[in-house]
Amino acid sequence: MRWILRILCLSALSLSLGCGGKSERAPATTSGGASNLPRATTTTPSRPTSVAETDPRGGEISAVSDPDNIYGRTLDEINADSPLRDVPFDFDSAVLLESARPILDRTAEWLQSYSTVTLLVEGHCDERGTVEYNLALGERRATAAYNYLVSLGIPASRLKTISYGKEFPLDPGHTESAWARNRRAHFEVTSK
Amino acid sequence: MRHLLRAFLVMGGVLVALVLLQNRIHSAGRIQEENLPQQPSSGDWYVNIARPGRPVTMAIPDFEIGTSDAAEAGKTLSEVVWNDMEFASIYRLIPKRLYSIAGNPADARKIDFYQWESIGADILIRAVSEVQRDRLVTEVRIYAVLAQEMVFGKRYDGPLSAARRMAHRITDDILLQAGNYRGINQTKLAFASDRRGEQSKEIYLMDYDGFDQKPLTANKSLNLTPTWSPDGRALAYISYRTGQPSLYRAFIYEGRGDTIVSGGGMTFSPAWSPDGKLIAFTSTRDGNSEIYVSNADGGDMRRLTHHGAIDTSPAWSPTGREIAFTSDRTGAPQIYAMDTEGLNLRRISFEGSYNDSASWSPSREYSELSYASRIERGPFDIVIYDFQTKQTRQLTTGRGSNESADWSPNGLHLVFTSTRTGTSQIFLMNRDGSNPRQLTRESNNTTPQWGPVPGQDS
Repeated sequence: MRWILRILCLSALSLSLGCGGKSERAPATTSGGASNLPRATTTTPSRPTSVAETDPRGGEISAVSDPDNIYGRTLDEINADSPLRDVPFDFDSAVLLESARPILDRTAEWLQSYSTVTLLVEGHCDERGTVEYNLALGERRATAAYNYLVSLGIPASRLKTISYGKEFPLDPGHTESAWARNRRAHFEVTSK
Repeated sequence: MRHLLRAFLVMGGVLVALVLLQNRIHSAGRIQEENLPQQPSSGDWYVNIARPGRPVTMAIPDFEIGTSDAAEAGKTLSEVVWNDMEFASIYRLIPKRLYSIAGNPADARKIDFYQWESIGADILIRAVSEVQRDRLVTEVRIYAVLAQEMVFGKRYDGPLSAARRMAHRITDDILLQAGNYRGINQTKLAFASDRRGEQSKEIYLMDYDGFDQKPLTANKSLNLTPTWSPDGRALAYISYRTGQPSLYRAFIYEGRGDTIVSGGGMTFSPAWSPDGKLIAFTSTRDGNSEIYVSNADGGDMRRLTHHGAIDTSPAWSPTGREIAFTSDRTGAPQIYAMDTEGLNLRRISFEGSYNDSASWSPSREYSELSYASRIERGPFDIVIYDFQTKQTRQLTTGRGSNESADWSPNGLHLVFTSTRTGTSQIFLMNRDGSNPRQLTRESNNTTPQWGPVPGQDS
């Protein structure tokens, strides 16, 4: 079941990325945090229906001030159209980039708004490392994001970490931009 | 079958679903063997057969068909033995098109050894297959051509459906009797595959030549990095089936499994010790990826590495006294070795910007360690470090990314993954990088591990 949800989540995310929905939903985020995500430069002729559009509350960034945004939706719906952005990393590195901090700051802010929410922090890697080492590297990426959130005052009890190594690439491509998208810490809402 | 398995999982809460050939543990599925009466041989005849300056040669005519209903099995036997012997790379095989010169060897009394000698054959294999009471019966004889004598003969009796298995056993016997080589033709490979889709990876088993691919797990989760018990009866692997990756064990012929290590962060990268008593693995239970060793059932856990860097991918030396592993303590992943107390640490790899997945050769002749090495910013290639010469040699050369090498039990071949065809597939090669063979073609297949030579009771 979880894997089916994951597929839904990934496909919904890629749909929304593909049509520029991500940038529209996140106008308030600082530009530095978006540098790792390839923004759509061309507009597709007909926008595919995404979760964001079918849910009247999903298309707003005002998640912080709109509690209904998560309380009116299931976990699957929240994760399929997550208000939380992925944290980027350099190759073979779990060091938080400057561009990661605004993303994590916003994640912490969001967590403070929704004080009952718990998150799973997933560490992911690009395909260029080895299977075995990437499991360890992904864990370190998840832990880096986790430690930063805890340092901002988020109780550790609300966060768990896991590494998926290079097993679940967000982008199946073999390009620099695909690799950049796949090196990430990703947040899944596990309870609200 | 799959529904049965799922019901089995749900009802019994059994962790491991086995889809292995059950007939292998029934006596009816066994291949029985009996040595044929043979002429007295002059002891280590194979030592004297080699002629200076060229490899020993072998002729393997197609198996003769004793009864017409053995035609199909006989063809399979001929093909599999030939393929096995070709891959073994021990003997130079005399091309079959030359055999007509030597005539029909069906009648042992009429073997014209001079003709076989004339086409360059040092060793002649003669075999005849027939069906007796629904069973496949094959007699195999090995002849020393120069000595003009039979040096070994054996009768194999097994189920008609077991032709491939019988062929692998015949090849191993020929290699042992004709050259004292320990063949790997009856071994299996374990690996992880995403062929079931649904964002899952299951552990699979297959024959060393890629045939008979079967799932071992069926839990629709992420199952990775299998490692064989040295007796070949169990596999340890990691699974995400409860969320956090934990270490499990599956007894593949008994249909049961258990949990070795779970909880306390992530557990991954297991490696079974050569004596079967211990398992080394990576765990984040102390807040960082460190290497631990426990008993094979998870008891008596102790920590071997103490460093803030990532320490992972343990690999046992064939003596069980040392463990190679990967650490990024200098800033980039490199191969190190230590003893099993965690002492006498030394760095092995100095070339390449990223080295991982060490595997120690089990060979008695060579002291070698393979690993995946990223040279410059390119893809990974398989390299071998020779402890005697302290030299490193590169086996693959930049065609796709080549990773996760593991040795055959005799140390003459390696299994590895390569993306040279676009997806991650499993290949074999010799320890000099020659003789590549692609075993899998569908989906993505990763982290292969070469199983041990099975005992005669399996």
